[in-house]
Amino acid sequence: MNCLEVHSLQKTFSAQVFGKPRVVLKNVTFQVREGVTTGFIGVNGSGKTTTLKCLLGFILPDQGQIRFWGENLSNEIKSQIGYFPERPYLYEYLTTREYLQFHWNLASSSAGGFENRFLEVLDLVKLSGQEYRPLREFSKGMLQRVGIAQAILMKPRLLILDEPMSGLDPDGRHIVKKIIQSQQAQGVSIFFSSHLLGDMDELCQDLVVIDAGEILYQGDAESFAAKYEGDSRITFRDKSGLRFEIHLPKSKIQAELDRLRSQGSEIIKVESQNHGIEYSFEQLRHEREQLDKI
Amino acid sequence: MKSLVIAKTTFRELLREKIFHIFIIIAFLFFGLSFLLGSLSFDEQKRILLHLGFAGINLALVGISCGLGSFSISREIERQTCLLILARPLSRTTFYLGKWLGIWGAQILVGLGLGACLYAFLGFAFPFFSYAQALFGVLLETSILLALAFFMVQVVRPAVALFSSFGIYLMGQWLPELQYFTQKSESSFMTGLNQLLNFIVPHFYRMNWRSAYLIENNLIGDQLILVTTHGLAWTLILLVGGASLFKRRDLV
Repeated sequence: MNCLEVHSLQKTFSAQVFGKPRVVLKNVTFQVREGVTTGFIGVNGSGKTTTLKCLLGFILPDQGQIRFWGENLSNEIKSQIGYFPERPYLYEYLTTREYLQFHWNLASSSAGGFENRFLEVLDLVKLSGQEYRPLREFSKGMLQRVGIAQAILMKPRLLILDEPMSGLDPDGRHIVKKIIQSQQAQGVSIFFSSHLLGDMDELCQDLVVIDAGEILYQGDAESFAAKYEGDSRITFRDKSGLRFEIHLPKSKIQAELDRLRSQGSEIIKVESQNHGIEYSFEQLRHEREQLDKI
Repeated sequence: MKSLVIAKTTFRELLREKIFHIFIIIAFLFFGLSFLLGSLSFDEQKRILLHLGFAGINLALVGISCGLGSFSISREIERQTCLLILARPLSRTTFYLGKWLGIWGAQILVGLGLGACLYAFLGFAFPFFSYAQALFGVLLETSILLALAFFMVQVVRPAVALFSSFGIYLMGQWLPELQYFTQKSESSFMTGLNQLLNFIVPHFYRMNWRSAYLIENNLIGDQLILVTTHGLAWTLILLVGGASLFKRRDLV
């Protein structure tokens, strides 16, 4: 079952006085499976944030359909979604407790249950003991974690995160990854954007790739990583005992192996280099650029 | 109900804002100035203190209305703070109303606080009920002006909204002068302009009861209900208009 279905989404930002209208989303269609972590990747300016903002109604699309669990966005649907935008400003004079209490009061009709959930969430984002500190005293990484704490506070079924690891140091990224993994373990569907593709390798089962407002790929992450495998490498020793390495496309490996054997070389190893999502993403973009030139 | 939650947080944040404190300091500077000027006169000290004191309160509240009203929502959009709130199960109208209520609540607190200080400085010399009515007029003005700044910022950029809402406020104060010039000029264009402005600009001058003569002689009472209705109607019109524009806006 899909928790999110986006169909033919289009958005054009109208022009300033003398400018041209800017088309930012062109027929964007994709799905996010229930209980699965889906990465949304694209370079800066490719339309990731605009798409995420359309999902929650912050930007009104010109055309297209967005359905959560088969329904249009409503307050009932919103109460099942946790959202964290890219680098938001949190009310800095509030303490962690005041800030999360504020979000609890906005999302829930009763104050009961806040205390337990608050402590649970604080522990999860590794901010225990920081309940009464004003947010203005927090580092960037800590603020990011407070933001994620508000997103998971109401135990959402779907988490939408916009660049949750952007601008963080390795420690900060590690903590955020752990939080995402803990939500995965609880069966929460996660849809998050990032241009840090190394993190996608670790966290995502599915991928949606966007470039210049168009979806280039939608499917499972493993297939995407394997889509553009790198060269294979043959290490061999020739008759005189000298060791060599050659790099070849996968399609030519068998013929080369036959040739080397016929010459009496000893094959030491054959390695297939899988460069992962990052490599496939670059190849896909390169392919698209070539097509655009034609 | 959720508007009140947003209002409470807005109110709490606002009381800690530096710009807010600056406006309050300006009001106190006016109080100090009125003491100085008052000391130059033998029998008008209290009147001078009342007029300049009210001018200080009015200036502070007009500054807060135009300044915070024009920048509050746009700053929330720019910093993406409002996205976190609007992702919750509530409407944009609830958010809009909550922000307005929060700022107006803070203005009421400041208005009442400064008003009480001024009344104490005046040695409780003026009739309390009349004095309270004059203060109510100032708060009614700020309610319209804040709603106006909220409305304007949905149409134009914040800096333009600030100046245009202040400009409309001045027009609303000067409508009687325009009326006077219209009668003198006998031009049909001026008559038309006067009629148009009377129709599209809130009558701020009607809420200006900050005069020692009016307060001493209890002359405000007659107009209170009519002017309050006028003020609340304008506030409501501007809030409904602004909220419906905000609902259709892309929060980029």
